[in-house]
Amino acid sequence: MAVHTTSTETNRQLFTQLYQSVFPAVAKYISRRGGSLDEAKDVFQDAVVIWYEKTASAGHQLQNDKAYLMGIAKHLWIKSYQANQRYVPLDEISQSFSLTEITDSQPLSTMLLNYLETAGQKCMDLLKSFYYDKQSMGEIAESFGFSGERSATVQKFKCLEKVRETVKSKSLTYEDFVD
Amino acid sequence: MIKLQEIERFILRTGQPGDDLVFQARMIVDKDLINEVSLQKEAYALINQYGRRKLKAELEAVHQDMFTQPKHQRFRQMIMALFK
Repeated sequence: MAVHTTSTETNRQLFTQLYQSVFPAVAKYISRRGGSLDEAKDVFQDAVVIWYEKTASAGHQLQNDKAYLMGIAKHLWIKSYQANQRYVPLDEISQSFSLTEITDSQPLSTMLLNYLETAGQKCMDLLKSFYYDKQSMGEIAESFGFSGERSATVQKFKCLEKVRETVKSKSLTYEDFVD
Repeated sequence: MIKLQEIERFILRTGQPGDDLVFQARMIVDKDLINEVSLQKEAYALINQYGRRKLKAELEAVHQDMFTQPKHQRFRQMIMALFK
């Protein structure tokens, strides 16, 4: 799918740049405090996730945000290390979600997600582009090959309905998700 | 679709302030609407979870590149030296 390739490639370039420009400083910081390479990797990747989610709607201004990213990494390390004497990586579900708190247990939401990922990846990619990556409907229409914003919007809501229906049917048994 | 759009405007606060008040009033008298809003919030949470999962996979792929590809050898040596 065109959009997926494009955004994945863009992210790959962005993350490679971040690895080259910010990861060495994070690794130095963690190593001086007795942390391991694996912990440096977890701290760095979690910091990038937080930074990505916070700056998605504004566009990722790499030049201005390197110090910000380093600040997030230091904060993560201090906070987690004080609490656990080691680094505990962020969950997929985290308190940083601004839209809602999840009321379900994680295993169930993970199962729902696995099911959706298998049953409707194209839909999930479209929804992700809008709600997570904060792309405009114009960008989405172009990269997903829709004739215009209107048809992309119609498809977006069809996909959203599909996710809602899946959530609604969460009384399905575990076997339904693992089959 | 209109119902989903209305709920979305309310949850994401992309509507007019007056629309929000009307919507809140409707929720007081319509319990089904409260459930619909809740359902849609859960759908958004799943989409965010999916987004984060994909992002982490992309980051992991770059990490593997940085620590295995010959073109990043100097970078790798510099990092490994920090943990000796």
